[in-house]
Amino acid sequence: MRAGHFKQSYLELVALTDSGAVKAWTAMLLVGCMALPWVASSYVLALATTILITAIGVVGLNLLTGVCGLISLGHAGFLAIGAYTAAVLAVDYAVPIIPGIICGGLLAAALSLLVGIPSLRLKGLYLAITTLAFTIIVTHSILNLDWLTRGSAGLSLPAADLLGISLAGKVSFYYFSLAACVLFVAAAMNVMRSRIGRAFVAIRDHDIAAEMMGINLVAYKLMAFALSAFFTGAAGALAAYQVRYINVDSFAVLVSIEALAMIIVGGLGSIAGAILGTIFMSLLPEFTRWLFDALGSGLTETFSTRALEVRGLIYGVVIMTVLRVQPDGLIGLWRDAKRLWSNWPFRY
Amino acid sequence: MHLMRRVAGALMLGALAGTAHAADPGITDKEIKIGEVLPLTGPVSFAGEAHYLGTKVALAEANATGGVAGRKVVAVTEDDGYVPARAFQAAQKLLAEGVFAVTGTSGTSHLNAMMPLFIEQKVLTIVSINPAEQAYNPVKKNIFVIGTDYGNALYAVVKYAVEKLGKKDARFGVIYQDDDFGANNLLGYQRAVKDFGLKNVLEIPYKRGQKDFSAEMLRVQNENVGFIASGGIIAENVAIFKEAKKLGLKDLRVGTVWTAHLPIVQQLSGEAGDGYYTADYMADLSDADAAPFVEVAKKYLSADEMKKVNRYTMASYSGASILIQSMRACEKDLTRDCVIGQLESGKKFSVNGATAPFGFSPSKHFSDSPVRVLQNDFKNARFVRVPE
Repeated sequence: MRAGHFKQSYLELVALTDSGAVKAWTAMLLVGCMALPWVASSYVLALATTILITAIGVVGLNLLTGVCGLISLGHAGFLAIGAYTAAVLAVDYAVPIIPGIICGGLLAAALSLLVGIPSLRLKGLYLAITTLAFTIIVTHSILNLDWLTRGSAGLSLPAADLLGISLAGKVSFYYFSLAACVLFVAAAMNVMRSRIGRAFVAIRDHDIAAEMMGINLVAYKLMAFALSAFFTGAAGALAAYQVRYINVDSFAVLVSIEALAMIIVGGLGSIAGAILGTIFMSLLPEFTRWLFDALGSGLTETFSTRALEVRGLIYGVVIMTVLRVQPDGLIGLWRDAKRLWSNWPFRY
Repeated sequence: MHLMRRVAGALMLGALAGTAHAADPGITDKEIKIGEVLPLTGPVSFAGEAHYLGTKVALAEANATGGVAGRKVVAVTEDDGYVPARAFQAAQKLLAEGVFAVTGTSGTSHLNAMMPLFIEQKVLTIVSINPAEQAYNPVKKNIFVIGTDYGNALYAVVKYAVEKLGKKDARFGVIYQDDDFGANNLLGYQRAVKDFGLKNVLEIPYKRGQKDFSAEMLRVQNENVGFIASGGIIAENVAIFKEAKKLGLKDLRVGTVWTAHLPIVQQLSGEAGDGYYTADYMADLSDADAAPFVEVAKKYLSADEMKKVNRYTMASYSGASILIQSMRACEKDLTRDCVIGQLESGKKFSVNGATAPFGFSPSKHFSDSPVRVLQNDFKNARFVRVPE
């Protein structure tokens, strides 16, 4: 059994894991994900694809808000920028999917500097409002730049292909999204283990102290915004390819709030938490529906058009209960379970 | 190895045989499943809820009279929150569950997101909530649209102003949204201006989401406009009516499309909206033509549900009703192809007065229903059909 985390070199410190068990479980998880198309229905596969894409954006938001401590309500805007960049490039210039995703991420990262610069002076709610304004500016710009974005009519994307393999099918697109998700999550984990990630954490915990230690606040805060926006922009581009139709309605402010809820429910500052939060929040509506169905078909009939309101209430109550019972989020629950497993039969 | 090949071969044969004899999805010996994707939450939930109730009435009515060939017709309803990406996901869920047909398709952009799936999987789709041109032009084999063009509706109110309100010599103007919806409205207005030789003094576009129409209405006042064609949706129309009242434009008459034929617009506008004109292909609930529909609705809906009934209820009732009529005509061969054949046979479908009888043909999957002009009677909370 492991008794500690004794490291002898910097290389060991930045390594993602030195635990054989973690490697084995990760491999099993990947095999499970790879096998999903063989056992899941087309809807479950579509839902899983959505979760994978959402996870990329949420992990990006987690880097900014959870790790660096900068609250953002502007991620719907970054998502929109990524989606529209990929869509315009695909429709007007026949740019393939991977350059489209990269360009979507890069443009979102470049434009994130617009909100990143005010963040040098703003914190907390003030920053949240600034980033919220960014989303509103982005959606208004999309509506007004008709010549580029087709205004409110939106854009229909052609089916993508990769090296001659069509990504129009659910299975192929699922695998593509899985690969993208693994890549982005691995990148985020690496960032967090590196000097950059540690600087983000230092800024979150006490920015003045961080500056005293030699961390350049301007550079690192802007880097946090750019990195986070790149992830989210790439997720937007992927989402555009998944639905193959985008318009401004898909990027309401509520999307940013939902993403924030995902990292809070999952556990702020943790990549695993961000992923757990994404899975939990994405599956919760399915759970409430299942609960309604399990309680009898008459229930939906009884509540009629109010059924959705009741399901919405259940949704809210479940989130509140989770946070009340486990303020550290789902990742806290996971850590508790791990501790219990390691220490059993002792408490400590 | 040989055994593996035999098993694989047998499985493939079985799968092929299964395909050859499989019925269309959503049909069992006991029930027929249809699907709906509706905005049951979000900014236009009033339309989604009303639509849901229309389907509920049509299905209850059908099931009370034996269903379709002894099968009960049931609806699976998914909420999209008026978000296209969620509509797409909801459509995938319906297809995975297996539905015979889809009768609820949310808004235009939502339909745009779902339509490739419906076309690809050949799902019989009846669009009744929003007659989007993309759905019927060009004709798609499995998609049918009930309604008319927004331009036709605006044309009808301008025509009414000219012929019945004596506004031939008045100064005309239009306020329209700068998107496909608005472009459609503008075309209808411009057609009327040309056909009736009207004095067109204002054409004002507005950006989607605009809430304040004070500048636009000041221009209306300055140009001494006598009739304004409003291409607003909900809040836009309300703002236009209120601004006109604030500016004291007593002689100004306002005409809109069916987006204003809703209790919510009537209530939000209050007295400021009293007397506005709206054109719709659906009857008003107070109209004598709609009495059979109202009677059926009262039979199957609770008093609480009846409060949510509006034109979208009638629209969805029409869609579900023609589907059931066509399915009943295909009792012996209940397949999508047969039902499509019935729908495009050219026969006129009657839908209890919710709208005028309509039909489709192989080259026209759009009902292009006739429009009637209604006037807002705020005091009695109804829309009165004006004499034609």
